[in-house]
Amino acid sequence: MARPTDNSPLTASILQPGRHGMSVDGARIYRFGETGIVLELDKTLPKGQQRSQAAITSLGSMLRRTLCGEASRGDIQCATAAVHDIVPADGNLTVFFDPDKLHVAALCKQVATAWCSIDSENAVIHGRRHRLAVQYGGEFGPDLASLAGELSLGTDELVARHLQGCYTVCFIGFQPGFAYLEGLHTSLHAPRRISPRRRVAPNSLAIGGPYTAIYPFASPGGWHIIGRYLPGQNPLFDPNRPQSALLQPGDTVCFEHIC
Amino acid sequence: MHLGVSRSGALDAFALQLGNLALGNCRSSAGIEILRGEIHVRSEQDSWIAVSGTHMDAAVYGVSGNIRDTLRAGSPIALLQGELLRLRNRRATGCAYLTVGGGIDCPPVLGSCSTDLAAGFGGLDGRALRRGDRIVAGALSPSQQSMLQATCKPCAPYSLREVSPDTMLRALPGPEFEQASALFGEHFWRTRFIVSPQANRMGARLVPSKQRDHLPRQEGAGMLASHAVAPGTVQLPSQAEAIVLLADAQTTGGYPRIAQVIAADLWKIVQLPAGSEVHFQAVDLAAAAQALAGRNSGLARAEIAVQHRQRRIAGTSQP
Repeated sequence: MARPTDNSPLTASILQPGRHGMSVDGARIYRFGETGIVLELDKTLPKGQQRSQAAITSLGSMLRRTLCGEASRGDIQCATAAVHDIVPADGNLTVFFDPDKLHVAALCKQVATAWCSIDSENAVIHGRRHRLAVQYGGEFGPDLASLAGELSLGTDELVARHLQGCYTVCFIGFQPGFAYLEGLHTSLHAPRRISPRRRVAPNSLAIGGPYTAIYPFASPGGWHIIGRYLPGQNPLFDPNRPQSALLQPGDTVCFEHIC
Repeated sequence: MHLGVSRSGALDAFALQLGNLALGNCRSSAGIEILRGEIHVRSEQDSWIAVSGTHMDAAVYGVSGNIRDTLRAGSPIALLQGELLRLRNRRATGCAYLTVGGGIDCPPVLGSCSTDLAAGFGGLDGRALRRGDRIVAGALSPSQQSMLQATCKPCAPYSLREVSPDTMLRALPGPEFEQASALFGEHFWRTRFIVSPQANRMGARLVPSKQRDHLPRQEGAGMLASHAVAPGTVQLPSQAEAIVLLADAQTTGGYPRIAQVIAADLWKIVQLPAGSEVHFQAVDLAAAAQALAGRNSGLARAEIAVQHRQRRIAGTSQP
């Protein structure tokens, strides 16, 4: 199959990998390896002009519709022969594509057009609201006491502040269905543990940096484990469900303490 | 990957495709990846198999218990009812693929037959195979059946040739490469690395071959916001090692993306024995595309040869 061509000078800068890329409305688009392009928020802009994570989330859903066809009926529909995946992350979004089937310049144009059509202030995200049952401390939260000590808080105060929060799913990464939740009270922000655990139990509720999250699966992990999610009939990830990941970018999450 | 699910699939996708092509299967049929140790497969019915990838001691034992035949990589062979196939990775290095005529019948999960070992889904109950597991082969098409029958008496008159890995890993500079100092850049491409035995399906570890070759410290390393990573992404978590991400890598990461091993070369890291000395060579996108096209055209030629054989046999069987 012949490689499609596009020689417009505007796109010449993104034909080679590197971070120069092209500037577009508070962000840059650049090439990543043979099969990726990245749109990344420009963090050097003055605070007022910076665009938000909500805009990235909106871009993700918009691209999933425009690049992958119909509103995704299930998780597999997100992939086509030409566009393999759309991965939003922390202030950036990567599109993985097949350069033999889709010219990088055409793809960048589509991403840039979609990006410019998103109104940052009104980036409406029709996320779902979740109320998740958790148990704090005890055998389920081995780091609760030590983290409270590090933050100079009582464990009750730490739990109360964590419960007060209403969190937004920033993006999914690290593990299937692992949702980075933002909105953690600044007094609870904590660097990773010095020595990561070899095994974190599935459904562990944790704090790492400015995020809180639940590990859907057992894995090594360096975050502070403060409790456990009680999944009941709603596991965080089930590949046999139409929507495998319970939490999706833009969803909001509140925790409910079960004693 | 937007769900946090790894790409998964074969570590050496070219080898798996070759194994499938040898049998006239669809290239993307599921196969069994063998990383180490020994596997014994007893056939409950007459079937066709092929082995590809790293060199294995491979032999078919007849019902009497004597060796009936040995296997060459990329050649189909019949495994008759009651016969036993023994595969042993004597060098305990690289990975091999066992493919079955008609493919392996397995229900796809999220569009793939791959096994996600960490999360425990896909493949056979989301886990590695163990003693006693039963593998069900898909049905052979009539042309596959006649081709294999015509070719494999007495046995394997043809075999698809495999490429052996060299030690040059061609790579594109990653997005964070140019943020590193010029000194670092020059150093990175010049450094000789040793393939460490500490590797798994998530990533391969490379250590500089000489102590003095420790990589210079990167400014701002480890402070990057999370972004998508992919198989082939080269990260430098410390000055003493480079990690090359493989099929089961996490979907996002916060280490600088220093380089991206090109798709045509990633398999080499998996197939080179631990202790091999490798180096990265900077290439551009055109060279990467050309290398991939070359690798794919080799497979395409093999596919055409097998199809041709099928047609010829189908033709001769016409009355």
